Amino acid sequence: MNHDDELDRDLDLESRLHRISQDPEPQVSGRVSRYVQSVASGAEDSYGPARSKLRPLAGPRLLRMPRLVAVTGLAAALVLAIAGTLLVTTLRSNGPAATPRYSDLWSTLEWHDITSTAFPASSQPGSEGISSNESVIAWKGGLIANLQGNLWSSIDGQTWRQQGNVPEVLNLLATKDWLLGIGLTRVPCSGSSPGICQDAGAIWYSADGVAWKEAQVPFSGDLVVGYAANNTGAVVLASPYADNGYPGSSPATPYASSDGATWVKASMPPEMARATSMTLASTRAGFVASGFVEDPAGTVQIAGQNPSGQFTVNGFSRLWFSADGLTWSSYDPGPEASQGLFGMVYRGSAGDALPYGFHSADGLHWTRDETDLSPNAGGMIQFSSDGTEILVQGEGPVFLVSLGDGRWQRLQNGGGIGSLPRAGQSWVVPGGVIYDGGGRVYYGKAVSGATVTETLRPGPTITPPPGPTLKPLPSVSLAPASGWSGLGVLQKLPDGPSGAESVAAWAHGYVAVRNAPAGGKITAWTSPDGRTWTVVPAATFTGSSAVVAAAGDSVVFASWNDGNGVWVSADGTNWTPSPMGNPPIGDRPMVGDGRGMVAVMDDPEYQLVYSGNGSDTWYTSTLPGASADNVQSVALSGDRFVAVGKMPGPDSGTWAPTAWWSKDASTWTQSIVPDAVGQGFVSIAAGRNGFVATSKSVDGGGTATLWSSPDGATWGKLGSSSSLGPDAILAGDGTHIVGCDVLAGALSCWSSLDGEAWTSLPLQGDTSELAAARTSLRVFPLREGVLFVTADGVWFGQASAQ
Amino acid sequence: MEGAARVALATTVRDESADFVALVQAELPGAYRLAGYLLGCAEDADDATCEAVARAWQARGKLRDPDRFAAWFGRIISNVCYDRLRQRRGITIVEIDVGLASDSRARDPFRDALARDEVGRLIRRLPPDQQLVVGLRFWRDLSLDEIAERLDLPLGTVKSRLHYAMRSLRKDLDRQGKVSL
Repeated sequence: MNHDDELDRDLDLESRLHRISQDPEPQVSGRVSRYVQSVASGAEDSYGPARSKLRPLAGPRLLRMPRLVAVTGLAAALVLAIAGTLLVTTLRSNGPAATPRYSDLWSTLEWHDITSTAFPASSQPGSEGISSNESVIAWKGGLIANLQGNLWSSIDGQTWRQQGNVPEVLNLLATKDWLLGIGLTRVPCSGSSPGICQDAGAIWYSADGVAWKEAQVPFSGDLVVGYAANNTGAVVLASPYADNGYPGSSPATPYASSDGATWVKASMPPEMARATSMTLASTRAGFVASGFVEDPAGTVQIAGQNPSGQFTVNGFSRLWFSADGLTWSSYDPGPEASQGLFGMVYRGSAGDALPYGFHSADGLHWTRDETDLSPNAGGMIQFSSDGTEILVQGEGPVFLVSLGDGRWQRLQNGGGIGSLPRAGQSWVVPGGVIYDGGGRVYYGKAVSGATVTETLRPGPTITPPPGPTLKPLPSVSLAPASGWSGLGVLQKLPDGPSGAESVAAWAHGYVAVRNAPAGGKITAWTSPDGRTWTVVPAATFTGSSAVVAAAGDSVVFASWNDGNGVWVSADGTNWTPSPMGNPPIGDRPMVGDGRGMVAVMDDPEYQLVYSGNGSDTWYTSTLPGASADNVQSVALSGDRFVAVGKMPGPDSGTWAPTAWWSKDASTWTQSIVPDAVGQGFVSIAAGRNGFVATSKSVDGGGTATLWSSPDGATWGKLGSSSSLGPDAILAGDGTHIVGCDVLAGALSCWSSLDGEAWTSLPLQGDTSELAAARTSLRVFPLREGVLFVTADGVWFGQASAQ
Repeated sequence: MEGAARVALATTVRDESADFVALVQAELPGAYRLAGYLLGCAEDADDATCEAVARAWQARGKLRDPDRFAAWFGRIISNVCYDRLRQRRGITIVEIDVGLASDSRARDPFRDALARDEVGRLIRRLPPDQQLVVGLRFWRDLSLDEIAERLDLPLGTVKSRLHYAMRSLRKDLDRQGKVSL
């Protein structure tokens, strides 16, 4: 594909995105308008996890009723499926209800952090991990996971081994003997519709997960819109494209297979043959299909808009059953079981379970569960099963387990990890539960019958991920630094690094870098003294956002966007690209010295990575208690790296500023930060004897808060005696910290060695040009003074020592 | 936004409620539509917009410059949407049965708009941070600079998110063979 083709595709994609929101744009609902009035009148004054104060104005949340009877008749169940698990939203309860204890069910999960040893690259840069969007299924006594085209197997869910490559499949299924992959194959463009190509359903099968063959399916050109398997065989629903209807408006035809290779068209009643919106599931008795049958007298209505305009269709929801997938007949699951709940069925050793509290011992007849799930696992709940246990995860997280016989037992959480992060995803494996949350993976070993406590026991620091731990730094004995008392007349540098966003001091001078303007390239400069600057040839670097940092006797340049790379130079002139490709760094802070580098990543964002030499190998740092998106900045002073960011606060939905410090870049300790709910650290600057950091409201409003720390381990809010305003521009080079702000139209600056005690730096000469460029102004403390950089100019002020 | 309302907000405690309402109502349509397209349905748009209003009301004392209300509230609704998208991370919405008992309840303008084009569905596969940038760029027509300001991100990060979002969408469309319409 040539460049013009790509450009056309981009324009086409952009126009399609724009068209989505074209007129008529939806109008604000009356509920929202009423809520605004009620908030301002004092009737409503808060929001929060309970969200109960929003609900009176919302009317009934039709899709979130916990009880089956509330859903029946509405026929509208939104089911959220992840990685073989199922999320169903329920009403939040006020607290766990007392439930009987069952001695034959699991009672406790003893949690262990297995990030470092067990999981295929979940926490590694560039990987999404198994649980993000891929399939995990139980097969032949173990587990099979399809991870971005690679097949992994595990016996216990903790240790995974790559089996081989799979075709590009969207979902995995398994019969007793066969693995099946459901995917798409491209149909050549039709001559009657030039330029329009479409995909069709495709099925691959394998007896061992290594060798795969594509089945010759008898529904060429159709999509696979449903699929299910049990021990004896598999069924797919094939349906032609519905270009002018509502989603799923074409009837679907079942095809069955016992080996994945040969597929046979099923026979079905006439009503099923014309049904639309079909879904398919398997139970221990066979297969259940649900669908919508159009009928003007129907009590269920589908309404929406298709390319032909607005439409409404009336009809009935129907169910059909087949023991072998080949012969189908109408199916009545019982008076209470909702037709809308058969999209997902979870298999246990004693029976099958449906969301919303039904189970069946034979896969045909359904009765209400003995235990009501909703008081025990409110909010969003996830289902998963491995063929023996069925697991429900509720918010908290809390976990309940069942064998499929209608009895659910709430599991206690034990173990030595301290706490489980919220909002993770789980699935049950033989003997336990895997939980992926906060950027880490945990294994909860199931225990039966033990006396347990409700809370996790405080545990040791989480095990670091694999990778060479940087050699712990020896105690650094730096010569005392002198503070600054003033700056000489500012000297404008005509060849200076105007617009530079990053300046690094290293053994042989300085390197500055400016991000690329739209359609342009990165500009980099080198300087031996901070006063005379030379532009690095434009073709040296690729990418559009970059950062530089010292690495002892060399300097490291990392770029990101539109071409990524890392380059290392020993002289600032000759740059060697690193053999490491595609580093996800270059747009956020990076610091280093002769021992190694630490950088805040850009993809996935806000994680820390470190490297011994800044070139070929980078490793993810482990931050205790941190989820993956919390780190905003990092600084280096003396013998320690300090990272700052935010973490969930004490109440759900809140944030609090958080810091971590480390001497080796691998093992980090969480710092003590007094409560500042609602804020997060956004920047940090290092001096010889301490650090200063800025926190802001995570809502983006309000006044920033300045903090200082002598060691990165304990933090306190900076007193007002510093004269430093909360909006000051701050920068540090590990020795001096400089803060500048525009006050009454003039630039004012202060300096500090520890972030706590600040000394005014009187500026000489006219600073109006700098003051006028406040929005683009950056300051960089150098060894002998301060570099002032705006979008259009550079000035240097020689510092005088105290 | 009415200039008189802005002045009043800054100077008159007595009329604080009315002024807040005036300021919010001027921003509601844009906020509501952004939430609706990002979250995929009117019901979630309702919830997200109400939550943003509540957050704004609680934090109104922090807003020093009423002229910045639009950007400030825009950031709040963006954060609310982002939080909600994050809670859905890795989740694919599957409608078991799209029928509803009532016509008025069934018609959802956001769901319909997103369903008109395959791109509307594929956007949900993107990471939340990329969805947010796409939404602000194409559904609120903000420039990259404006997005960077609203999200308090470096411009380069906004560029990278948009770049990777578009790349992912193109890849998904290629996979489905529906590049050109």
